[in-house]
Amino acid sequence: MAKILLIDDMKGVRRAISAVLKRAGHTVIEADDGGVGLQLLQSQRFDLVITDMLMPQHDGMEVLLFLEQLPDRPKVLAISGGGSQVSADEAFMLARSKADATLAKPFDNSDLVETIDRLLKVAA
Amino acid sequence: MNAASMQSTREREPAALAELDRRAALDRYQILNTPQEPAFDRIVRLAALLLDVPITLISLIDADRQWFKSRHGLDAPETPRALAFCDHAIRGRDVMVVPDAEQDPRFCDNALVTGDPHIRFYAGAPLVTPDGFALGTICAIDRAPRQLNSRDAAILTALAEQVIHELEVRSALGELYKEVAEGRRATRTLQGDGARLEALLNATGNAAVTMDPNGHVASMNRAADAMFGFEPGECVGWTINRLISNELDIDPDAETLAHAGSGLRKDGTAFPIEISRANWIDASGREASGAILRDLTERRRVEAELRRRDAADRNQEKLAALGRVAGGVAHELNNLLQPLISLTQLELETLPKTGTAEQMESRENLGTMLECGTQMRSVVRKILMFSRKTKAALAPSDFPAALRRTVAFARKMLPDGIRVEEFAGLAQGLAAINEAELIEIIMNLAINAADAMKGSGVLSIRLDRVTLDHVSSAPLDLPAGSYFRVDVGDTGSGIDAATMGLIFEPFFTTKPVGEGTGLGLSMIYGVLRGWNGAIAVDSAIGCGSTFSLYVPVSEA
Repeated sequence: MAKILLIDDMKGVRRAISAVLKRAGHTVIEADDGGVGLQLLQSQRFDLVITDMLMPQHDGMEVLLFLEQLPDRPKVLAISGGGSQVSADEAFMLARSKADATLAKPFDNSDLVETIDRLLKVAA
Repeated sequence: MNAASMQSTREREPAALAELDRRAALDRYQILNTPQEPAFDRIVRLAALLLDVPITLISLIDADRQWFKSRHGLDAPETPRALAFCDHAIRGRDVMVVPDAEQDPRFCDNALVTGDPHIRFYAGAPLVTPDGFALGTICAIDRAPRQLNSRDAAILTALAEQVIHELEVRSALGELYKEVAEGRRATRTLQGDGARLEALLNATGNAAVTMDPNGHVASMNRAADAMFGFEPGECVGWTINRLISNELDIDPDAETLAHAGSGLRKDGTAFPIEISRANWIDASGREASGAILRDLTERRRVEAELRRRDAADRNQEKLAALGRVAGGVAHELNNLLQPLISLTQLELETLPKTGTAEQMESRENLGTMLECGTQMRSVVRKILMFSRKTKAALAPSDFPAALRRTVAFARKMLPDGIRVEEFAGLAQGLAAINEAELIEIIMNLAINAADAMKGSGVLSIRLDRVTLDHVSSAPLDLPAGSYFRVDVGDTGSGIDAATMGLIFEPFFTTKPVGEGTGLGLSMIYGVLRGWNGAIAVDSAIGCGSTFSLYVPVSEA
């Protein structure tokens, strides 16, 4: 089973996604901001990163750009609920070239599990 | 003063006094500066004919001018007395003849001889009053030298007597003559006024109708004939009720005018008018009346158009406001919904499928929570479609083919009881659309129709290519041109008038709470506007509704 880094500024979202992933047998480490996520990425190795796109301090684009620098980077799933300035579509348009998959919040658990499985299978 | 000059003064004195008496006599006739009068004009015309000369005048010698009471062949109303041949003529009692002025030492230098009107021949008979004053002459003038025979002289003398006769009559009638003359003048003035008014009335675009005391049409101006579709004079004598009625016109939304009514054209069609009435006493002392009528058709059309635009603008403002709010909260709502949906789904999976009554109730509760969460998700997504700042990309598409694909898709999604009938016809061509949006539009209309038919009925989708002229396109707020028209009709319950005015408003829905967002038609309206198209609806209670989509045909 995979070791997954989950970056999202909303506690409820982290709890929900963690619960689903843990139920599926994965190990989940949470970060509440892009900055915290980047520190964890520098010190640990992950099989997969799930990152929110729009966060107040360091957003998902920063995470994606950092991962791009890594020689053997983990797969990335970008998630977004859209926002006042940018719709989910536009946030994803930015993410699409960098991330391996995207999901618009709120998504169904089944969609999440299927997407994760697919990314890990390709990675394996 | 020397002797010679004294003698001269004495000689002149009686002459000067006689001249004063003569002018006093002239003044008594009160003829100077009066307008032309036919009686005198006839005489000069007669003189010109009988003597065969180009110029004939009745000249009255005033203090320092000769003034022409009547003139034939000459434009000047008077000339200086110093130049007047007639001033010489009044000194005698016989006809004065100048056969060739150029040869006459008295006149060869005269400006009237050397210049305009180039007098060569002159014959003047003095106008001598019964008390012996010569007031002026009747004279004949030619531009070539000639002689006056005795017959001509007799004619001129007789005409001079006729002039005096006219002057005597004029004088004897005194004030009465003036009244008669003024009456005649007033008639002429009236005739002039009448002509002026008629010209003005024919120039205005408003209809003017006058009526006799019995309410019959006495006259109509050109605009009135045109407004009602008649030939000039065709309606004279009709009762006015055949043309206008005071009944208010039928447009219930129109601003109510104090003087609104209806007009009835020759072809039987009615149109809204504004009536301004006037009453007066006619020439025979009877009460007559008239009215100025304004055709309000165009004004009504503009008013209706403005009302419709106002409503559309208000809707667009609502959508824009909705977009701003939605954009602000959507991120928040979507993030809040994620745990609600995820954790509820997770709990439902965790709970055993069978168990105690309490466990089953918990399952049901969680199921309701999940249902509400997913419904909320769909509401937020629909709202977000409005807030999308970037327009969907439009691509030139084979419209009939795109519609066929869309209908095939809709067919699969609708309940079994709904039969879809498609009439594609022979319409061909391209339209700049977004096919995903077309699917959204048709699905929304189809689902509404299925609801209206309570799950069983016929949904007809018909495609035509139509040409709208500026009259038929105006109510749709579209430019004239070529359009695809898609009629989506159902056999459902129909839409009542009160509901009709609201259906395109965001959040207006007739569906039970939780079953509709009230955004479907509003969304369709917005999408079609984005395509430079329009939507119209026709509905009858109990018979069903037809929504007509207009999509502009692309050139090329």
